[in-house]
Amino acid sequence: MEPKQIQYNDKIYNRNVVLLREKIRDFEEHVLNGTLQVASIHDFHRVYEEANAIHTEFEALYEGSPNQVYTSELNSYFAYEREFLNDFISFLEVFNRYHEVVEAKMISNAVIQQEWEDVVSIIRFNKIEKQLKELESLLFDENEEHEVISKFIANLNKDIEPFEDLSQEKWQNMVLIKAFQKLDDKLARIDAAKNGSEYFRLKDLYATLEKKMYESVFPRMKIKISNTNFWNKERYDSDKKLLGEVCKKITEKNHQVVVHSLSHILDAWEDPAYYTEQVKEILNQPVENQIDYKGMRTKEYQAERKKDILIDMDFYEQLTPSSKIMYLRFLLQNIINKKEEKEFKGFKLVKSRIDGKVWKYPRCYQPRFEKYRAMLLQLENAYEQDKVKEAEEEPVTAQDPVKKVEIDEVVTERYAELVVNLEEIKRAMFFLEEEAKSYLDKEKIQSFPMEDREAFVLESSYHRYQELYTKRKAIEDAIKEISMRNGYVFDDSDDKYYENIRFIKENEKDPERAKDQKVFWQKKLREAHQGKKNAKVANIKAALKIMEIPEKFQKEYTQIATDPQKFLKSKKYSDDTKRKGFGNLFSIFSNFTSKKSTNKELSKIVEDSNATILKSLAMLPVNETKVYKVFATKKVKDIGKMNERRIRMQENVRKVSGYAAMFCSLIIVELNVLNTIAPLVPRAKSSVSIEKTAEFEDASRDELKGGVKVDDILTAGIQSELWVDKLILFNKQNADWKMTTQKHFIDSQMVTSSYDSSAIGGTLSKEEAPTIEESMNPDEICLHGLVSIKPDALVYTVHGDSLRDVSPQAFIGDTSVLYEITGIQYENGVWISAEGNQSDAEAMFRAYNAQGVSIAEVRLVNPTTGEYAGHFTLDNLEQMNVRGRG
Amino acid sequence: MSSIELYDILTIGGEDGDKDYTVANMVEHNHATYLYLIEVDKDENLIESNQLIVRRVLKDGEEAVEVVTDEKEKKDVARLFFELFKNEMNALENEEGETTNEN
Repeated sequence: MEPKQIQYNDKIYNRNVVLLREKIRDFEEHVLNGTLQVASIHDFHRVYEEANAIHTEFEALYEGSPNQVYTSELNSYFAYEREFLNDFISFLEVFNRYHEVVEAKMISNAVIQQEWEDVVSIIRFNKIEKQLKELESLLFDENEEHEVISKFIANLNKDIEPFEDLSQEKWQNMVLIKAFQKLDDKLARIDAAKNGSEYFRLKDLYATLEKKMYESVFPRMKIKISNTNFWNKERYDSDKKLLGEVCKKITEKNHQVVVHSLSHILDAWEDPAYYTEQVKEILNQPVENQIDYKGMRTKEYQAERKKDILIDMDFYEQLTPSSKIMYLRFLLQNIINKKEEKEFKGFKLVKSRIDGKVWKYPRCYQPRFEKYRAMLLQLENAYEQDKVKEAEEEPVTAQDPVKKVEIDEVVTERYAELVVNLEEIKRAMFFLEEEAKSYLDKEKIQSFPMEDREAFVLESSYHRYQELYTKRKAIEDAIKEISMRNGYVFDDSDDKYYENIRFIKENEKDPERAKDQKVFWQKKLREAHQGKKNAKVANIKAALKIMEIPEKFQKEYTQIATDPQKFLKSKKYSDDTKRKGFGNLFSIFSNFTSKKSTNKELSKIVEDSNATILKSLAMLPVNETKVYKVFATKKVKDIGKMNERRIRMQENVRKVSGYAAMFCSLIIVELNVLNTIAPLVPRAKSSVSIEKTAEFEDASRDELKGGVKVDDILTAGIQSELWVDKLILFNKQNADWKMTTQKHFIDSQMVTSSYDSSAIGGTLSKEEAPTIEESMNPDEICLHGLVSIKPDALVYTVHGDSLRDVSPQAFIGDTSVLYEITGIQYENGVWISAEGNQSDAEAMFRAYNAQGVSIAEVRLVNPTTGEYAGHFTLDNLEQMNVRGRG
Repeated sequence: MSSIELYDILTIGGEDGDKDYTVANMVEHNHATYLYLIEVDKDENLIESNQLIVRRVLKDGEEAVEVVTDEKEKKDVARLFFELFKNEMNALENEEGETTNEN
């Protein structure tokens, strides 16, 4: 169907303008109806030239425009044609750049034909999309006649016909490309206006699409690669809902064809195999149910996933190794996500490293997290073994045989060469930029705009820089192209496939469908594995070339780095040879990493390989005399037996851990200075602002036999000018151990040196333990603290009641220390000392000063909340009343 | 190399002949995998007096373990194992506490 006729203005009407429009339309018609065929590189150049000639003519028309009014009229007149030309030329340009870089001999006619078909499909799709939009407006127009709409739909159906034969994947790709372009344009417009929430909403949508595009769509098109944005479920839901609303409105008017077409846009968001079926279901459902899909995408399911942080061992045991990995990662991720939940705000977070990245999660989950992490690490090590992979990749049906894909050495070599060239060009560009930096004369420096930044080079180097830039772009395109054609995978899309396999719901009514889905994702998974492997081989080769490793070693090193396990297990080489091989590679890759390549994919692959090589090195024995072979490994297959073993271990964990402590002759004394002091000052519990922990180890405490001399440890702690907060003690004879906290020391009157060792032998119950208030005189505690604590190691906390009793001598020489006074309360803006009024405190400090104690500054802390409440010096004591607020 | 999992029973040829050990704990440290092994009898009862800290290795391409002899390495790894056991104990105590509270 023809685009809607535009009524042009007489002012712009002249023969040339009209003829040009006719020419563009004829050209489009030839593209779409197949009269313009491109089946060779020669055809391509011909069409490219022809399109460029028309484009030049078109631009000349604009350049000759006498004023803005005329330009805007031209814009209206050529609205449809301009869009077609721009799209068409941009696609051809991308291909042309690619052809220029990769020698023509590498481009087969079949490839050229495929490229052409892609372009034609997209152009056709553009047209349909415009018509759909028009149709939408017709449908919402109450005055539009039914007959007109029906005719429109009939024509639209004709245009859609060629797409009926297209595969789902192909169709999806085109929808995505278009959705991407559309959003890109819109975003660019809004970007300029920076329209708040709409901007961010679209930006997210764009990022999501961009990622999708990168994963699944033909990267020869206009693609900006970004790995920084990730799937945003909320945005996805909200956008899906919007599209769903459109469907709903149109459905109410019973135009099924439109619903069907728009559903494909929804379709683009989804996984193809899953969604093909889902669309059918949705179309058969009542309108109100169209948005909430059954199965894995429901809100209930998501909620269930969110709270899922406990491992279901029965379920876990039934999984294949790779699914186990996914399941564990899923649990770990959920624990990490917990910190975002309201109820965990303010919780202490602990760090843990997974995949080289540090993650934080609430401390209360530490045991669980570490357990899952240990299980994960162990599984992932195993996963590196081919056996596990093969088990996962086993085809479910005979119709889906696994083909061993040989790595194409010619392509790999070509890719590696391009990567090396790219590095060289980048270095040359960097050199020219650096050269310009040393010139102060701005007139000699010229700016060179690039997509992401502006470079500055010398005028004399400008053309050279431009050449390099063009070359760089061309090589980058070629690298992308080779990556795409050979299915190189650089991301972790295989993780997604694992997840999909893991979450396929077994449909009792239709087990065949579940099976099909599993086959589909397993195929994807295999492709991703192979793609990753191919990309790894090519990049390792490139890295070795960049590092100028002689040709004869390149092949061997590539093999070792690509499959270190194979080398490790090989019986052909001695352990010593293996050690040397890994050692050399490690040194090569470390040197490469230190050069800091700008090629992210290459750097990541080399870094990952180096980490694997380190692991492999650690797998080689060091002390041959202490190496024992493992003759057999008995695994438990049934859950009951596994639980039995686990429970047995748990029952003995106290004893076992005692032995673990003995292995390192361990007496662990955890020291936390402020935590120690804080409980001594009842009203200053929350004033802890600095944590200082340290370990105190002593291997020679044989006195522990038959009882624990805690006093000795305490004394040793004091001598180290640290206060013992927590002791972990164990009895060497029976390996039993106990953890004793500061509270126990106080309760057992250790602080006053009247500790009864029998109190530690058995843990004090709450009833037995006297409270601080009952048993201790706070003045004594503070005095004790003063003499035993190294002043410059901490912010000192003193109880106001006892301050006057403390010898000022203790402060002498510590002028740099900031002291906290917590015994002074802050109420309604007036400072009152614990006993009475502010003047007590002032007098106290004047007295210290008179005795030669130079206090630089006094800090005031609200003893109830622990908040900083203000500070003063001797010079501004008078201002205390007004400076009491922190 | 087959995977070794927690609580697997390994038959290891040592100086005093073959013995069975259970994998009481596993930890990753400095790129290596360390196992905390406790000897078990035929009925899989723990023999607490024989416990080993070993590093997983491949000797001549075959699965093996190397007893950790370096003092510093041993201390570091033992400390990690101790922490793991301690955490496990704390978790058990917490669970018991939760169960008591629920009751």
